[in-house]
Amino acid sequence: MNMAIFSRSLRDSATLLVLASAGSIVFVVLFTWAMQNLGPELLEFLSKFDFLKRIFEVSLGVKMSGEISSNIMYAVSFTHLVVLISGWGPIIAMVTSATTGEEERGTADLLLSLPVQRWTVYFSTSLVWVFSAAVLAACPLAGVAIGSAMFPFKEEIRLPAFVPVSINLFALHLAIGGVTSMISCCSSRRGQVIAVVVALTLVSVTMNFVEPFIPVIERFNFLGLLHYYRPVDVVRNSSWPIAQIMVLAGFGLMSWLAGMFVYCRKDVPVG
Amino acid sequence: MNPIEIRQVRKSYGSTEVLHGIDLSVSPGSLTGFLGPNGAGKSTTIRILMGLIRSTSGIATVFDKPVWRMGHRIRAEVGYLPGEVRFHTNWTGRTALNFFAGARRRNCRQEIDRLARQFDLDLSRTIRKYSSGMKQKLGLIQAMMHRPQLLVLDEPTNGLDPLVRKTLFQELREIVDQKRTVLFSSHTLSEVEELCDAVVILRDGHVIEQESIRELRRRALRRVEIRFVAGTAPSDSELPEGLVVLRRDSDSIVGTWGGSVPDLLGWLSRCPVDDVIVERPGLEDLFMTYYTDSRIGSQDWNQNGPNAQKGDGL
Repeated sequence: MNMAIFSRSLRDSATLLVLASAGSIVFVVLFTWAMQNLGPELLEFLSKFDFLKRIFEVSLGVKMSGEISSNIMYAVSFTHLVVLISGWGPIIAMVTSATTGEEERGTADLLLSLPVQRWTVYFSTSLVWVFSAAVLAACPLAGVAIGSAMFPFKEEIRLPAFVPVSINLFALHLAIGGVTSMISCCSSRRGQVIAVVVALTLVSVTMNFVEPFIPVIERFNFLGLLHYYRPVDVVRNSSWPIAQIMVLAGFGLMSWLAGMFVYCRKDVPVG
Repeated sequence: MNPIEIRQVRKSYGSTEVLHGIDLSVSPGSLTGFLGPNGAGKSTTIRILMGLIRSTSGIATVFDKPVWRMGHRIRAEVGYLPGEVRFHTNWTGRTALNFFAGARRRNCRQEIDRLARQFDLDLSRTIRKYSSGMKQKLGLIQAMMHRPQLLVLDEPTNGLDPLVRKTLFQELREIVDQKRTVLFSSHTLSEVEELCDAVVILRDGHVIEQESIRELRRRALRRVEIRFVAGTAPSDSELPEGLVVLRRDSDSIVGTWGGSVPDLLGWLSRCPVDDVIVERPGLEDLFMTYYTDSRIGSQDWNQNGPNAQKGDGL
């Protein structure tokens, strides 16, 4: 690893990371407050109107069968699009900034003419987004801890039950970061890369969100990233989603390695 | 061991070949000008040397090491200024240079301060507030601060005022005095003539000339202006083969002479001449011939030089 490159990338990403982390924590805290105040009435209301309940389930990507506890409500916050986007957005921005962004700005010329191997540059900048992914995955957990302390439910919140969810979320962020790295290394236009990644993510998310309700899609559900991220099931069953974590992390690692292979061999065009 | 050796290097982008098997070498301790019109392939060649792009075929070595496989080791002893230097604009000049020194794992503080004084650059300002000339100065300091054995500068005088240009030339001469090597790309002929001791000329992806400035000057065309006695100017068919007419009117001819001076004097002695001016050979005309003459293939240029194409005298 090259410390100077790592520090520079970390410094460049710090503001975005702090803002996204704060946003994610604040959102989960507000979600707690909303659930405490509106949750029971909302659930009662939804149980009366099956159609509305279905829309609610689709928008959150979770099936709300059986008894819905406070812990389950917290788990729902982990799948909320605000939490997911506040994680994926900064990661996509950081990854593309370190690869295609450097080329587009024309700063790659000086960076890659340093006496540093390309894989070292790739690795040093990747460490920053991996670290950020870990922080961003821990934010909803921090939000749950703060929220449950500020607005206590009658039912006790089991924080350790959310640790596997956070690790699962970290693996999900790694998958997004890995695939962004791979696509980013195959292009020299940042906007193009972001568009492709966002489109792929959107397809994947939509597929998984509607999967429980459209049987045809269920056959292809293994292709969607969120198929391997089920916080409600994890909290409900108090289980460790080892297989899901391995699939997501493995996919992320393979994509990242493919990206490194391309990065080490690609021509750097004039910016 | 030559600091730069390139053998039969080709570079293609898809079906378009931009370098057609070029050969060039730069000797140690030399200040070599790398000349050519826009799109000749200068920057592509330099980017291959810096490991930014990969040649399609051929061998490029710096300090005897292949540039693609051992680029990171080579670059420890190379300073590089890209054709269009860009920095993170939210940094100060000092932060940028400290980053490059840190990534190189070198302590360059003294040299940075010295060069900043030489180039009169305020390093405490944000790069966003720098003019293009100031960014160029920062790029030059970045390239020179670790006292590299080889300095590769792609059009370094872009945006520099004449005073800074003079300072840069002084620095480069000192570098060469210390037996270090400089490759200096430019399309400003006068500065290469003023500064360099050797020149490589590239056109359309071919090296069409590689020679010392002294040898080129010896071969360069002389500019001649001949005024004949009224009404006696010879017709075009009566002119000697080495004389290329650039402009003529009823009594005078302005042109270039590619042959020997005695041959010219011999022909003039047989003509009713009123006045003659023969100027020392300047490289400008020679370079312009290299740049613009599309009739001649690169192989001919390599073998014979431009004079051979025009005839070597009478």
